[in-house]
Amino acid sequence: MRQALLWLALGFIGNGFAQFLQKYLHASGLGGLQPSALILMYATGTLFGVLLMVGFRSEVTLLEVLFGLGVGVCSYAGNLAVLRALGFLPAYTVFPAVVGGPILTVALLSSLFARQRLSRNTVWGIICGIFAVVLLTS
Amino acid sequence: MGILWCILGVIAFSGFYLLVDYSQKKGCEVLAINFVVFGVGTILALLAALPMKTGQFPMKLVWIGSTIGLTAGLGLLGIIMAMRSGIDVTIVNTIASLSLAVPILFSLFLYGEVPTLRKSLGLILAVISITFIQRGIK
Repeated sequence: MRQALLWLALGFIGNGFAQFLQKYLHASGLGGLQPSALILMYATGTLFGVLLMVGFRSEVTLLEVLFGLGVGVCSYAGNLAVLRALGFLPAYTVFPAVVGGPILTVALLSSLFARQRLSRNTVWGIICGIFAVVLLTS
Repeated sequence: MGILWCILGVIAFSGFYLLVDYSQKKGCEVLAINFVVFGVGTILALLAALPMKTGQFPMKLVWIGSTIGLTAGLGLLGIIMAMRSGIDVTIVNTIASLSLAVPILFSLFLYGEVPTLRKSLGLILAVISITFIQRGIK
């Protein structure tokens, strides 16, 4: 389980740095070039993915293409929705909804359909996490 | 209209985590999914940014955008590997959402941006949440 926690830490740090760099992009006066930044971001991620695949001699099957398509569209649609929503609503409304909403939705759907049982500590952790996200984004 | 974009964001990000989780239960290769996700994102970002001009890609943007892509790629790799290691999708989603504490901490140290009382409470709750979740996993 130690290795799993290390992967989780990589997910936390990787996403956190990406968000900080997005802030740095705005602080550098390049916020108006967000469409170009998105192209560069996804293109570098693709290149990184290719290098990893070549390095580990991995292959892509049809099932992975289909899942990748679904996840990729969701990722892009989510980011686009946040950018569009910010044009209508203040950030303190958009971020708690868009960041906190999926935590609740995924927890509910997982417990309803996948019958995943969570320990008491985990449930408390998720509750604290939802409140933390609301406070951090408001 | 803003609320509708927020709802779309919640649906998209929930779909993102549920699809990643399902893909790992189906035994999909992590690196292949990572590659396809960023490939799809690149195509969508290119289509959305058309028509493009060379002036839209200053060197500083290239550096920042590429670094965002690299860190986001590492973040996605960590998320997928954590799910593959058996950590529940709800936990991974919560930890990934809490990564927004990272830009707040970096802004404090690099730009001297002191977080508000709300954000400070959010950071404390984030630490408590991660501790609970870590105990829950063990």
